[in-house]
Amino acid sequence: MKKTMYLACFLGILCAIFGGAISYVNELTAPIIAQQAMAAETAIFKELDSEATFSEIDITSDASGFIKKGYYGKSSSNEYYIYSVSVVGFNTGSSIDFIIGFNKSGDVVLYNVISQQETEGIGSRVTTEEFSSTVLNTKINDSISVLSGATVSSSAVINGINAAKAMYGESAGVAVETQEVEAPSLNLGEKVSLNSEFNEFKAECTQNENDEEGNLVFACSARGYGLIDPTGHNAESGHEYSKNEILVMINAETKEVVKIEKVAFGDTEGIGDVAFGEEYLEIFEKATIDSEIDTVTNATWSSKSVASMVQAALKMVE
Amino acid sequence: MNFIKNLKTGFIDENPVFALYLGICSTLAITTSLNNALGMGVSVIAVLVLSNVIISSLRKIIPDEIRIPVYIVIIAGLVTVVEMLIHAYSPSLYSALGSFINLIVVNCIIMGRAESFASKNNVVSSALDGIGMGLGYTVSLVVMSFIRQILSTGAIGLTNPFNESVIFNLQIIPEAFSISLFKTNVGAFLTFAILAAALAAYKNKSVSKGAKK
Repeated sequence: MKKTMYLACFLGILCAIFGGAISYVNELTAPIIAQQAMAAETAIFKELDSEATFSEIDITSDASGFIKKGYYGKSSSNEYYIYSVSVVGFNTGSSIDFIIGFNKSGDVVLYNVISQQETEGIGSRVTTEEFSSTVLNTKINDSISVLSGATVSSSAVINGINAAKAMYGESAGVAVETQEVEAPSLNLGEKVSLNSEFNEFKAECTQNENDEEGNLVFACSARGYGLIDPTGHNAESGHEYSKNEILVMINAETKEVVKIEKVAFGDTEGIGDVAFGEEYLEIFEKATIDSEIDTVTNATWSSKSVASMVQAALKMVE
Repeated sequence: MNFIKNLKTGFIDENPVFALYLGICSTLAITTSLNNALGMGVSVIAVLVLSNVIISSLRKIIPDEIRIPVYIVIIAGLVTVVEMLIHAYSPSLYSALGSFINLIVVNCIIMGRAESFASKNNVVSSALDGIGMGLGYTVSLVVMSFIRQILSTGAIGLTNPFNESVIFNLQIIPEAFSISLFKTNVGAFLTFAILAAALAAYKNKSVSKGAKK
């Protein structure tokens, strides 16, 4: 016991000494690092207007918590309101930090992602021309569409931009309309027949009571993309493998799909959920076992998971 | 003589990278430019020398049962300090080296020398060992980056990490003849393998020459 105490004390004292040394060096270097960060940001502003001088403005009225810093810039020809924004994208634990700037007319004149750790080729698309072209040169009350296939990352950025717009409205004394994040329009890809082999999805259906209109109702489930994430995005599904569930309503006489309702989505949020949105599920209306269905680009597996369940329900009716 | 012997050990006989195969991760990852190699090399020398000196100074009072956690605390503390200093005084080097600065903590060279040398020798010898091994590591990185940068870009250059001014920049091979493969992981492994083989051949030759005498 004495020995253990001695060892614990020795280690504790050593940790305290080195902790103190780290703390001291941090005090010396933190102001220098902060100054460099500001210099890097204002260097970006200079590219916007080399004549303008910039100063920091108060952002304490920001209710969203996304705005980290605000700057006001003035030159002989224009005024600028620039905000440093930090939002959490798809990868929780890391942020998407970007700068958004407006001129005195409320046009978006600056959009620059400083850092992000989103999935390469998916969430990182918020740094590309594909997204920035929908942000830059828009007006203050224009809405920005979410990127299909990168819903979570682009929604987060748009929410941050909307928070910056609200701050701009307050700073510049301009009325800014509250904007909702727009759902992406479907980006449809390859076609797949409802008669295809969907064995890997292990779709199963059980028949429920008919609905009020006399349609046959089937409760179906199928394997999703297979990501096992019991503590993360798929926590609610509670399944070992991701599992998707829908209700399929089929007209007993025509054997056509009347409607599909989502029950549970177990695939990757921000990627597969487009295939479980109302807009995509409507595509299956009037489908029969011989129909061909479009899949959603970048959400092909989730689309086929839905198709496998619809096939299983239609086969029960045959 | 000890100093020269320690240096030769660190450079040739027990070259940490090409003979002992330690610290390979950072060697392969950051040797795309001379600047990165020198930056990482100097950081490792600083951590290696300081950790060796501290551990050697405390070797008689460090309890044997917790010697590894003690070494880790010392090395991690030193690396954290070095990281903050690099971030403050050389932001370009900080962003170029990225997470590999923190990975110095798990660089086998540092822990290996702490356990096998500094914990058993006096402070001066430990410091010299740290310098020797550190220089061996740095020279290995510089040689690798020299080869990779010339072959992948055709040029070799060095900038001052504190004020970004160019110290020199020479175009050795026309850019049209550069081999971009050497900027990738494949090129890193190829360069590493060739240099390790060359060192092994040299050592074999020295051994057989010594045997003949």
